[in-house]
This record gives sequence, C-alpha cells and structure tokens, in this order.
Amino acid sequence: MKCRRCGSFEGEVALKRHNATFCRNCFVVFFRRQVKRAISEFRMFTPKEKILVCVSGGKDSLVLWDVLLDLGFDADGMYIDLGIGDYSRESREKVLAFARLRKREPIIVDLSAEGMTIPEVTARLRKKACSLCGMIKRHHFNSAARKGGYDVVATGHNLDDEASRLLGNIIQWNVKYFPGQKPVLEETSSGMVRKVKPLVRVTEYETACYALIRGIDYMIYECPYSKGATSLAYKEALNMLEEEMPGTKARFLFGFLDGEFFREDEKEESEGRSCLVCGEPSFQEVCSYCRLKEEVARRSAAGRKGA
Amino acid sequence: MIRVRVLQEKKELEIPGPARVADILREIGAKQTTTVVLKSGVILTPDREVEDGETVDVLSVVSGG
Repeated sequence: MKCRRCGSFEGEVALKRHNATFCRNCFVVFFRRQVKRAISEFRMFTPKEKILVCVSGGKDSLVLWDVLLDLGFDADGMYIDLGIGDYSRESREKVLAFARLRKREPIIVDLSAEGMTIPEVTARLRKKACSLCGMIKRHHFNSAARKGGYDVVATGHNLDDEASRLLGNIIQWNVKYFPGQKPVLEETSSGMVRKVKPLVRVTEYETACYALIRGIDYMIYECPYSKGATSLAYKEALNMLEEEMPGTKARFLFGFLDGEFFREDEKEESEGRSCLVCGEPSFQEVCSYCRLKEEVARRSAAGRKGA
Repeated sequence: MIRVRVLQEKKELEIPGPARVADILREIGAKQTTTVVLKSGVILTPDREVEDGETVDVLSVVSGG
C-alpha cells in the first residue's frame, strides 16, 4: 500500500487509528507534528525555556529527546543509574551512545554513590520496586532541574502509559490521582518544577517505529523488576480493545482530559514546605526520599551489626 | 519456512511460508498494535507478504513498570 501523505513510496507504518499508512519519511513528519501539537495544545513550554528530559535508555525517552532537539528546543538529558546489574549497564551505554551522536552531554546520577540502588533499597525494605523507583527518580529529577536552572522536566510517558494509568485509577476509583494525569503539572511555590509529557498523543507502537526509522539504538529489554506490574495488565486489556476497535485508547484518554473531571476539591495536594535535610519540596519536615534514605542506612547498619 | 526471530525472548521459530505479516503475528500470538515486524531492518505493514525462506524480526513495543 502506498503512503497516504505523499502517495509515492511504499507504506511502512500502518496506523489503523488514523486509517493511514505512511512511508518512513512521511511518518517522521507525522510523528513530529503530533509531538508539536501536544506541546502547543497543552502549553507545555516555549522555545525559550530550558528542558530537562528524563532518559532511561528506553525508546520513549530517547525518542522524546531526539524529537525535542530536532524541533529546536533547548533540551538536556538526565540519566539515573539505578544499579540494576546488566540492565542498568546496557541502558546507560544506550544513553551515552545516543548523547554522543547528538553531541550532547547528559547529566548522570549514580545511585550506588549514596547506597540507594534499587536492589539495595528493595532488599532492605521489602517494598515494591516500581513505586520506590518512581519516588527516587522524581526526587533526583526535580532536584537536578532546580539546581541546573531548568524550567521544565519532560518525561517519555506516551498515550499507552497514560491510558493504562487512567484505567487503573478508574478501576481502583483513585479519584485523587486524576489531577496527576494532566499532560502538564504546573510548578509549585514550594519548588516542584513543571512536569510535562510531550509524547501523550503518540502510542508505544508509533514511538518504537520512530526509533527504528531514525536509527535510535534503544534498550529493548525491560527492567527485571517490572515483571508482573499491574500497569502491564491494564495495557494488555486496552490493547485487546484497540485490536478490535482502533482508536479506543486515544478516545478513552482524550475524552477524559477534555472532560469535566478535574474538580477544584480533587486537586492533588501540593508539597508545601522544604525538606529540612535536602531542601526539596515536602509534605513533612523531612521529605519521603530523605526518610527512605535514612531507613535504608539504619537497616544496613543493623544488618552489619547482626552479621 | 519463514524464520521468525522474537528479539526480546531471544528465540527463533519457523512457520510455513509464504505468509502475510498479520498471519505471522496471529501464529505467534502477538498483537498488531503492540508488535513491530521487520525484514532487513525495514518495518513491514500487516498486509505485506513474507516469502518462504525469508527471515523476519519481531519486536514487542510494550514497556511497563
């Protein structure tokens, strides 16, 4: 089938939800337009602002960094080495290789330097890795953005991530988490930097196709700790519907975002003070990250004593 | 036979050729919306036919955690 846009070349990417097939060149144009549209539609940032992109070595974050640079934005990448054996080693290599190609210097944070790698933390606390990992990453990205003078932190969350998160929040009736689904989370007076999700209009399939066509060498293997994650079950359910009814995921997510679902009294509580230890925004005197760090250190010391 | 390399699982399968990409995906239990099929690095649409004796790579696009 020929490309719908140019009509000249053989179609390489078929998108049922758009009832269209694109050749590789036209797909790149289509994809960048989708990202650009999300940035302007949700007023994520302006060309004058400085963006910190959270990169993991996976397809979404590297594609996001790539697109933002090609669209002419001032975007730096930041990678957190989680210390998860070969997975982290390979991911880090992918980030460094990409940065070299784009002649950028990524910010690297190594959790082993403070004894807070994911294997160390989960071994000490026996809590779910994904939620701990999310909290640790949020802390470091926000902290680095503030110190580096960035206006905005951009993550590679795509349409599938956001739709599956919404499905989970609805199934659990976690109404208080609805505001967190917005593609833009504004900065707070207590020091939370604005957070944006420029890939919200594109699916995982589209992001992977973009990476493959652009020759972006990304980490194709998943984090070993993500096995059995509930988000994967929600994605599976939505993809079953998408196979039968193309466009379901987009209608589900954007119907929600366009709707009247964000009541004033459901606003996510903003973190209103500064942590006494690190100075980052916090609900309590000491932020959740510093409390976690202290707990890990305490248990490590107790373990050494008992050995 | 068509050689199907399932990249993330590091395994190879053989299915009778020729076959359309959509049929290959059905055969291996994968979805069109979450799987990219490549031949020599080029992405194939579900309607494309793969000839007997050819090799394709299958890549899942689902990430999570």
